[in-house]
Formats: sequence, C-alpha cells, structure tokens
Amino acid sequence: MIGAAVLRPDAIDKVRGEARFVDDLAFPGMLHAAVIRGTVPHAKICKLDLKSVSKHPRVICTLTANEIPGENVVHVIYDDQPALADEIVRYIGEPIALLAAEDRTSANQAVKLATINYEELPAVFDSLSALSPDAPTVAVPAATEKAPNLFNAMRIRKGDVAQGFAQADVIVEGEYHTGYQEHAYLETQGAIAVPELNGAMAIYGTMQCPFYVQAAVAKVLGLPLSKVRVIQTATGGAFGGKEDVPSLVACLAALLAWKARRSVKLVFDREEDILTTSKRHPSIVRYKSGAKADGTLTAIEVDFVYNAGAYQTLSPAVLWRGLMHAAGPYRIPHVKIDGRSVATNTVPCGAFRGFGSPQVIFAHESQMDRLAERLGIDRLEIRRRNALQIGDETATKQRLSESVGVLQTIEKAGRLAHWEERLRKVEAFNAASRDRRRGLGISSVMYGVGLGGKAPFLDKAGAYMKLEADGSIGIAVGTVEMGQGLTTALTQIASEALSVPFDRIHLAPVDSSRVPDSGPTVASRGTMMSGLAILDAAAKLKERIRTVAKDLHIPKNEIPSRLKEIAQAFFMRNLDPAVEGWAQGAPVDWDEETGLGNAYFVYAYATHIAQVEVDLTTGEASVEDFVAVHDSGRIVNHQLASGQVEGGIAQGLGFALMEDIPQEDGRLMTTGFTTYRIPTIRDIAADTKVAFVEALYSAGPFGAKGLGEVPLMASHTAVSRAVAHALGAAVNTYPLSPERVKGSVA
Amino acid sequence: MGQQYLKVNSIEELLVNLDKPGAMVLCGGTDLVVKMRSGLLSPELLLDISDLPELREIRNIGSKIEIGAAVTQSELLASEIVRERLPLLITVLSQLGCVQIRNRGTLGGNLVNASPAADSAVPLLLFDAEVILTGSQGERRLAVKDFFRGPGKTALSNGEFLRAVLIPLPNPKLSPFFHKIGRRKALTIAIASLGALLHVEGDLIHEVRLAAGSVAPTPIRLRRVEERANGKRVTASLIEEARKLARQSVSPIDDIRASADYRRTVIADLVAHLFEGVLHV
Repeated sequence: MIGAAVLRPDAIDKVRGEARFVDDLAFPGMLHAAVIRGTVPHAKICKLDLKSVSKHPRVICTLTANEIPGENVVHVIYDDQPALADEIVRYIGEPIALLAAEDRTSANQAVKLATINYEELPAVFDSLSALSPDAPTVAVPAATEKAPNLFNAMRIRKGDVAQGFAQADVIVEGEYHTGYQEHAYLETQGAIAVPELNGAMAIYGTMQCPFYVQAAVAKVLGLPLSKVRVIQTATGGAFGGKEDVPSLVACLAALLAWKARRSVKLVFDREEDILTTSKRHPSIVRYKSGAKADGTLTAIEVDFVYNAGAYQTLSPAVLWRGLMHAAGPYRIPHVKIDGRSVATNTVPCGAFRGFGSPQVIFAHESQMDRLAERLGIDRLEIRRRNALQIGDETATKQRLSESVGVLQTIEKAGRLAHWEERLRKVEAFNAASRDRRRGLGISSVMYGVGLGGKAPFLDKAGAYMKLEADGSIGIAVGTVEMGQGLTTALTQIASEALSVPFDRIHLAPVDSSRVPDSGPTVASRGTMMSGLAILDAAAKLKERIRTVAKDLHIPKNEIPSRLKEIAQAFFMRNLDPAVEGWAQGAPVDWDEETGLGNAYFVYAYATHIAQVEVDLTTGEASVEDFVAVHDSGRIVNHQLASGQVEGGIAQGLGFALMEDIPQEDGRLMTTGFTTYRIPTIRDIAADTKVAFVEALYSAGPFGAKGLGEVPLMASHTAVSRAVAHALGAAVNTYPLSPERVKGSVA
Repeated sequence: MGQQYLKVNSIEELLVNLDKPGAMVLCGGTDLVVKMRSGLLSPELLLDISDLPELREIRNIGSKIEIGAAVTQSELLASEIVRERLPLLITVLSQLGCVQIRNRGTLGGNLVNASPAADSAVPLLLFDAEVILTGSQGERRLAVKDFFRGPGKTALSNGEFLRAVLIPLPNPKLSPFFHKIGRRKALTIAIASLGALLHVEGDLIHEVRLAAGSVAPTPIRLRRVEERANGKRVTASLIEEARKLARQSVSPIDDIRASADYRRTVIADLVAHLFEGVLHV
C-alpha cells in the first residue's frame, strides 16, 4: 500500500464537479458580505459615512471597527493587523468597514455607496526606502527609533567569516532581486459564518489552518475557543495563500454574522483576491561566497531584505525560514547571515510555497555557478563536492545524523539528464546556431520539514480513529486536503498500519471540534505529522482489536480477513471502538543570539536540472527539458508525489520567467489573469522526468519526510541558471521576461 | 441595469434595433462581456448576432474568400478552404487566446474590438483584406487598414455593423511568417507581433509584405520596409536599412507588458531576422 498509486478518494467528485467548495454552499437565511476597503496607501480616516450604504434596500447591516465585540485584531503571530482599519489605513485595499446584503450583487453595489474622507499621510513602498530613519512609520508599534519599519531582524553567526574568506582562493559577490508572486489558486478566498446555539459560531471555509481560524475568530468575537467550530470545505488550492488570509476572511464574515444573527457568506472575486491578499515577499539578497581552488566552500556572508507589507502577519516566520535556508544544502564552516523584514504601505505578504526560501535559493545557487565558473569546475561537480552528508554540520551547527539524500539527488539527476553529454550537445547546438542559444541549469536545495525551532509548539497533530460496527474505519485529522493529496496519503498510511483495505477507510472533512489543535497544514508537514498521529492511533486500536480477537479465538493472521466479526463483537459487548492518536515533532532548538541550533528535526532535498532555449532575437526563453530528483524519504504515493513535483516545477518556472506584479505607489498593477500570467501546459517542458531517492527518516511514517514545497524551491533556479548559461550573462532579477532577457543578450 | 438582450433573427431586425440608443452588437462576447463586467462599456441593448446564418458562412467567390463576421475562430481553423489557401491565418488563429476563447471568439469581433494587439488583424492586413460594413443606408467596403482608427476605434458609423471580411486569395508563392511575442506560449496577448508574406528566389525578394501588432495605435503594415525591399537582393546593407526603417515605422507605448523601447527594437530585429533567414536557408 505504501508507494502504491491508488485512486484519490476525492478524484471522481472533483472531476464531476460534485465536490462542494465554499461558494457552492448555502445556509437558510444566508446573507452576502462585501468589504469596504481603503483606496489610498497611508492615511488618517477622517470621516466614514455609511448612511447611503444602510439605505440600500437590500442591505441588512453594516459594521465598523468600533462595534467589534472582541479585540480588533487578526490573530496570526504578533496581533498587529486589525480586522478593520481604525483611524489609520496602511495599504490600498485594507478593510475599513463591512456590509451584509440579501444578495451578492446588491452587496457589491452597496460598497460603492460608502463615503470615506482621508487625510493622506506620507507613504513608503519599497523595503530599502522604508529602512531609512526618516521614512514614514508604517509599523505598529514602531520597531526602533532608528528603524521604525524594521519588523524583524534575525541572524546566524557560525565560525569566523573573515577567516573563512581569507582561506578562499576565489570570492564572488552578487545581488539578487525577486518580486511578488501570486498564489493563483483555482478557488479564491471565502468563508461562511454560521451562528450556532448558545452564542457559538461555526465557520465553513477554504483554508489550510482550521485552528488558526478558530483562534482568530474567537479573539475578534470575544468568544471562548470552545465556542468556535471550524469546518474546512473542499479547498481548491492554497500554496500558502490560505495559511493566514482565511483567518481575516473568517473574522470579517463572523463579525457580520454576529451582528446580523444570520449566516453570512464572504467570497472574494479574483480581482479582490489578487489585490488584497498575501503574496510572496519581494526580496533583495546580497550574497558573498568564498571557495578554495578545489571548490570547497569556506565562507558565506548573506544580507537579505524582504518587503513584508503593512502588517507582520507571517513575516517573522517567513524570514526565519529564509534565514535557515540561505546557506543551501552545503557544508560551510564560516557563516554570517542577516535577514530583515520591513514594513511598507503595501498589501501584507505572507506564506507561499517555499516560505521565504526561494528568494535566497535563487541567490545561493547562482553563487555556486559563479564559483564553479571562476574555478573552472563543472557546476554539478562543485555541488557534489560540497553537498551535506550524514555526520556533517549545517549552517546552524546542526549535526545531521540520518536521512541526508542530497548527494544522491545530485548524482541521480546528473545521470538522468546525461549531464556531461548534454553539456556537449548544448555547446554544439550553440556553435551551430545563429539566433538561438541553449543552456543547462542545475539547482540543489534542502528543506527543513515542519515548523522548526522558531515555533516548535506548532509541530503536533492529533487523529481520531474508530472501528465501525462493520469493520470499516473512520478517521478524523486536523490537517487538510487542499488538492495536494493528503487524504489519499493518510488513508494509505492507515490502510498499511491497520491491514484494512484502502476503500474501507474514510477520512472525515476536517472539523476543529473532532480533534485537538493539530497545527497548520503548512511546512510540508501534513503527511508526516498526521501520518504519525494515525500510526499512533492505529497502534492503540490494533492492540484493542488483538485483545478482542484473542477472546474470540481468532488467530492473529486471520484478523484482517475477520475484522467485521471482531467489530461486531466490539458493538455487541459495548467495547470502546475509538482511539486518539497524537504526534509530536522530534525536539528542535534555536538560539536567537547566534542563530545556531537544531533548526528542524529532518530535511528534505532535491536537485533539478533544466534545459532552456532562448530566442536571441526576441528574448523569449523556453523550457525544453526537465529532470527533478527528490529525497523526501519514503514516498507514500508515487503518482501523487510526481504530480506534486510537476506542479512545483510549473510554479517555479512561472516565478523565474513570467510571474510579476508591478506596483506603483502601493497599487498593484495586475488585477487578473490577463495581466498576471502563470504558465500554461505549453510552457511546461515536453519532457519532464521525476524521480526519487528515498533516504528514509526513522521517525517519519514508514520513513517519510515532507515534499510539498520542495519542487517549487528547486525548479525556478534550475530554469534561471539555464537562461544564464544560455546567455553567458548574469541573471540577477526575476522574472526573466523576454524584455529582460533580450536586454542581457547584447 | 436597464440592460436588454435581444437575439436577432435577421439582418433586418438587427438594423432596425442597431439605431436605438445604447445598442451594441454581441457575438462571441470574449471582449465585450469582459469590458461590461469591468464597467468600461455599459450597453443598454445587446443585439446577439451569433446565430444569424448569413453571418456564419465561409464562401469562396472567385479569387476571394468571404468570411461572415460571426464565424468563430475555431470554425476558421477547421475550414478546409482556409487551411488550404490561407495558411497564415491558420498559424495566427491557432495562437489566438485558447481553445475556449476561439470556440466563442469571432473574426468580426476581433476586428471590431480594434485592439492594437488584435492577432487576426495582422494576416488580414497582409492579405489586403476588406471589411464589408452594412447599415440601413446600404453596404460599403473598406480596406482593413482603413477600418482601424485607433485603440478601440473603428470606421463603423452609428447604425452600421461589420457583416463580413473579404480576403483576396494571396499568390501561393508567398510564404507565411508569423511571430507573436507573449509572456508565455499560449493564452497571451501579444507584446509585439510580426507577420509577413514573402516570395523569394535565392536572395532575390520578389515580394514581401510585413505587418505588425502591438507596436502602434492600430495594427499596421510596414510599407516603407516593403518598398525598400521589394525586387531587391538581400544584402547586409539591405538588412540594416530594413531594421532601421522598421524601427521608424512603429510608435509603440510603454505598458504593463513591455516597454516601448523593447517593442521598437524587437520589431526591428524580427524584420532583420526575417531577411537574414533568406541568406541562411
């Protein structure tokens, strides 16, 4: 069962259009919400007049900040973001007031009837300007007097970089820039708040983190956590975009539902979703690397800045992961890394697949190539020579004791791509071609699975499991299916553990009242953490089953085939057929002062190789060929895992080549998919090979680690380095649009 | 609000209603509906012509093909005569939008929308095609190049609609060329595009026609380059002159897709590249 390509239990429903997403649901008497939003980047709200809104015949109620029954915050990490702007608006699109109407069209019309007068304040939009001491203060509260907008500053100090660079034969320095990336999930943000008896509130919605939503709604309504129940609806993609934002969406719907005492639906249209919800942080990364003549890395010094937007939301966590991943999967004795996230008058950035790591990966992998070039060492070889192995120390001085497959990914990717032969072919093609150039790019990454040393309290998960009277198994977990295939993988794990056929096991939709807080469905942790909770539950249930079987004189080896008989005995004898499983991540630690520690309990690895062809006349770059090799420990379902890798390759290719949101004075200039371009099937390499090396993790379910984010992390730099190779020119800024590429041809 | 929809059953019914205030013709809706939703257009009366049989025909009349305004792009792609005689149009339409858009979008609609990036305008300009405009006063024919008056502006008068496009069949010796630059390989609006019909023998250019999209307020022919190149042999100096003339022929803008500079350079380089191709067969 483990590794098998079983049919996804949700496949048929989704193909038939029968899966019910949040906008497909309705409740009796349900109202439709709309959000009245700020239209300026930074201003004092002088007057908020909703009289005309209220007069709209279909509007039932409006709501402003001063009516909020609990605290006016969207609880994520630091509670600096209000649910509704009160006095000051800090980014274009910030919610200021709410309305609920009998139908959606009326709700959207009524929004336009609000009158808001502003006294505009000086605003700042890019991170470097925002760091200047005389920049207008965006952050609440101001961080420091000297740098009011410095949300977070974190660092790693290992060894002595001066000594490390002194030992180097070659030093290369670079500066790398990336912009926004939009999640572009199929299903936009949405939630329905349903008042329940006894003052309780239920939230139905599209989300990754039901327990974040529960906490946020309880806080804004001033309710005990036990009176907020969160039910995740079929979720059409998330990619991190539904980590923190659903808390805001649910809070807004819940406030109206509380006031109207009726169910309220709030669903964003695409434009509202793109303009007002989180994105990948724009970045500037400065990177200095030193290596000996044989390619051995001696030191790195990294300084990177992320534009966080107006509120912190997840930025501290995103920055921390960037910090932990800035060194790459390499042995480096001397490390100095500084990361900062900065407040600006722009939409708050948040989680996006890779979570602060893709930006620094673009830098560390570009640096590796430049070292290789300067030293005359093959690019694959320099990675091979520096790759972490068991017994090595990471940039945070974590000693790796098991499950380190990065070297195998490099070697296998090289073999599958026929690296050396292909390099020769590319050179031959380039020598013969007048107007086109081919290039090869390679990118190796490591990924800390789970939430790591900055938030170890989140790495837990529960599972509820019961043996039904017919011998089938019902399971509830607290991590969600968002398209990635978690339900399938967890069912396979349960099936294997219990020796019960796959189709006799059913995972219930996630409902926060069924299981304890299981942490968020992020950080590529779902299969591992909920998998472990299921294994824990399965062990307990099997023990009980064995006891009953023994009593029934059923030999152990006949238990699977006679489970129905045993289940009947549970039923007839009033035996408890339900168990709870629990999982905790292995211990992690991290020292804030030095940045050292056992940052994550285990790491996943990958190496991608891309071949591109560039049209020198137009600057168009086309991905022709792709090889992706991953170490995520045991692969629970090869087909789903390959699909996840292929999707990540596409998303990374988009990040490198085409995805871009220009911003003018805090206004995002792409409002839909006409101007925000994501790759189509034609943009994906016709030949994509996906393979796995399974360096098993002893504490993972059947040796599994995590996979979800890693494909995107590795793919974009394989593509951008291939373009750099084709052009024989520096490539330091995303996206590599035809215009930018043609500008580098010269 | 106050919006009416009428599916017309005849050209007469269309003409009667087209004079009414706020009336607009709806066919595929791939541009119109988008603009209505964003508030750019708010017609009071929508006249749906998508099922008028007279507008859905592809007819071969002597040395010309007449294409009804409501023929969809997908229907054109499937048409035998178009595939045989207008391969350039096939090349271009197969890159327009995506299958879903082409199933609804029409040749007439693409022209009436008058986007500087209208893909199908490029081949029609190269074919020296005409549009047939019908109004209550009767019918008139106009060269496609005179039909476009600016971004979103056409020569259609009030009460007139585009009935058909008339394409003179090009000399089969003219080989088609089309390059559309987008930010991705499909479902993309042209940053710039160059189309050509080219008849060469060795390095001698018997005839060349060039047209470009997204580099001027309307899709345009590059006449000065054509005049310079027709009947000439391709030489290094001709290539450089063509590059220069192409550069001078366009008047692009900066927008969210690309800069004016890039557009100017890339059109000039594509023209040069086309002639270089003659030397490197």
